Formats: sequence, structure tokens, C-alpha cells
Amino acid sequence: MVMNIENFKDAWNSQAGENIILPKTINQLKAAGQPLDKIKKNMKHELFSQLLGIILLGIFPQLLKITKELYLLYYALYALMLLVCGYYLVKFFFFFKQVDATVLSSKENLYELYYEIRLKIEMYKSFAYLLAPFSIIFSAILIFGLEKNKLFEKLRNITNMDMLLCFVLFATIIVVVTLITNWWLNHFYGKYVRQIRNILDELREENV
Amino acid sequence: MDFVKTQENEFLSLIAQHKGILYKICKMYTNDPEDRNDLSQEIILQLWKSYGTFKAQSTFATWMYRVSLNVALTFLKRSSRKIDDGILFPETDLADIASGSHKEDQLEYFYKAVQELLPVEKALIFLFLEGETHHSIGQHLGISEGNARVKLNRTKEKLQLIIKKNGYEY
Repeated sequence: MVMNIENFKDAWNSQAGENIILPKTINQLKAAGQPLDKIKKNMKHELFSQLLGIILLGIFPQLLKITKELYLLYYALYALMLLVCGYYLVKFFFFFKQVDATVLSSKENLYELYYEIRLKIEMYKSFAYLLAPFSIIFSAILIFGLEKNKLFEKLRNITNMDMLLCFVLFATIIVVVTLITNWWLNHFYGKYVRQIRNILDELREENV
Repeated sequence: MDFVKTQENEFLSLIAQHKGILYKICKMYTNDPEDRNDLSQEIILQLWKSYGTFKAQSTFATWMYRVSLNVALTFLKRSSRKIDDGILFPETDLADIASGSHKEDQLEYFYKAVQELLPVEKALIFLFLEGETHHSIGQHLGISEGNARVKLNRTKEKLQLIIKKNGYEY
């Protein structure tokens, strides 16, 4: 006779959890198994490299010795980029601080998580896309502005062909950045969205 | 400070009284001892974070079901980073299950079979075995009572088929 789940409750109720060793204090516990925690952890790691990048960008003109005429343009753009970064970093910071919603019903909790993660991914994407033009302009200033290259003076005599080449180069960089960003987000964050989507599909209402 | 410490002690003593719930959920959702340990820590931590939302209108056990299942449903196993559809657990050879008492055997075969269920199906079976009504199961999961009944019946059939396939008889 096959085990009947209906008659299984005796065995089920006999489990008191003797094998579980409980912590003596909450401080002994460590968390890391929830999608949001993983995402927060990943984003925090990326945040440090982003901050390092921002600091380095601020001292590049001095380090690389670019033409003085370009300082104003460079730092005006740098200030603008700081504003953009500040806005996004504040948004991410509030994401880290958010209260969890584990007391909702499973479906509500999963929807909260799902849209929260989707929103953060989209925000992350727009952040990366916004930084792309900045990095192109900064690179251009740093390359053309190097005192020893004298390329900056040559810019006055730039031909249409050179312009076209620059345009193609910039467009290619933007496409590559977009592709890499999408791959990165899909690889590191998309799996969490898919996991939650699968569970939500399981909970879908059926006509009864 | 003292208030927090008192609250923490009160919380941990409630967890100790209900550790059976923790044990069962962890065993249903993970098959690896390390994962099980991670999940139990994660659940206790989330319970503690949400402890302020616990209202005496519901029993501690009912509140614990809700939070624990929500954590278990989205828990990411350390041993298997592949979390896309079709979660694979390390196989336990049924021949290795020591022939203990009748109840122990039943439990071993049950937990082995449960690993083949989907996350929501595990929650349905757990709540059913804990004696929750269809209405209450629906409330926990956020689905209607009718859907809870249909999904539960289907899951029970699926589970029995798995147990049968695994060759358990008594």
C-alpha cells in the first residue's frame, strides 16, 4: 500500500525540531540567502568601483597633463556627472535601507519583490546609459587634450571625414556599452527576476 | 538597551518553542545540510526583523508560517547557484535510508519526495500538514480558497505519485 499523505500527520507532528541548534543571540546570525540581499551586496560592490572611478576621473586632467584650455569644459562636465551620480547613489542608498515586506501574503510579497527588483534594474540601466556619453566625452577630452599630442590644435582643421569617423566610433562605443550593460544585468540580476516570476506563475489563479 | 535585550530573549524563547516549524520548512526547502543551516538562519533573522509587526491577534505559529514560507520561497541555495526552473537537489539514495521506525521511514520518504515539488507546492503541503484550512492556506499564499483547494489536491496527488514511483509501501 502506498503511503497516504492524509494518514501521514502522526509522523509529521512527531517532529519537534530537536536537531535544530538555535542561536543564543541574534548577532550570531548571518544573512545572504535572499534575492534582495544578493542584489544589494552586488550593487554595493559595484558602488565602490564606481566611486573609485569617479575620484580617478576628477584627477585625470592633472595626472595626464591635458591642455589648460580644456580644464573648464572637463570640470563643467565633471560637475554635471557628479550630479547625475549623486542622484542615482541616493536612490540606491534608499533601496539598501528599505524595509522588507515578508509579513505580506506570499503573492503580495513576491509581487513587491518582483517590481522592486525590476525597477532597480531599469534604474541601474538608465544610470549606465547616462554615464556612457560622459565617458565618451571625457575620453575624447583626455585623448585630444594631451599637451604632448598637440591634437587639440589640429581639431580646428578637422575634416568632415574625421567627424564621420568620430561619430561612427562613438556610436559603436554606445552600442557596445548598451550590450555589455544588458548582458551584465541579465547575468547578475535577471536570474532573480526569473526565479520570482516562476514562483508567481505557480501562484496564478485558475478558474475553479 | 535592556528593552531590546528583553525583547530578543522573548523572541528567541518563542522560536525555541516553535522550532519544529523551522525544522520542517528547512527540511522541505533544502536537501543540503549547509543550505538548511543557511535557510534556518535567514528565517530567524527575517522573523526578528519583522517581529515588530507581530500582533497578538494571530498566534505566533501562524505569523511564523507566513514569514518563514515567504523567506523559503525566495531563498537562494549556496550549494546550487542554478536557481532557474528545475531546481536540482543532490540525490539521496533511497537504499541509504536506514530502516528506522515506521514514522521515521515515512518521514524520510516524504522529504525525499518533497524535493521534487515546486516551491509553492511545498508551501501548500506544509500548510496542509500543519492543519491549516483551505481558507487559511489561501490567505497565507494570497490566492482564493477555491484555488488553494484545487492546487492542494493536485499537489497531494503529485506527491503520492512521486512516493509511489520511489517505491515506498507499508
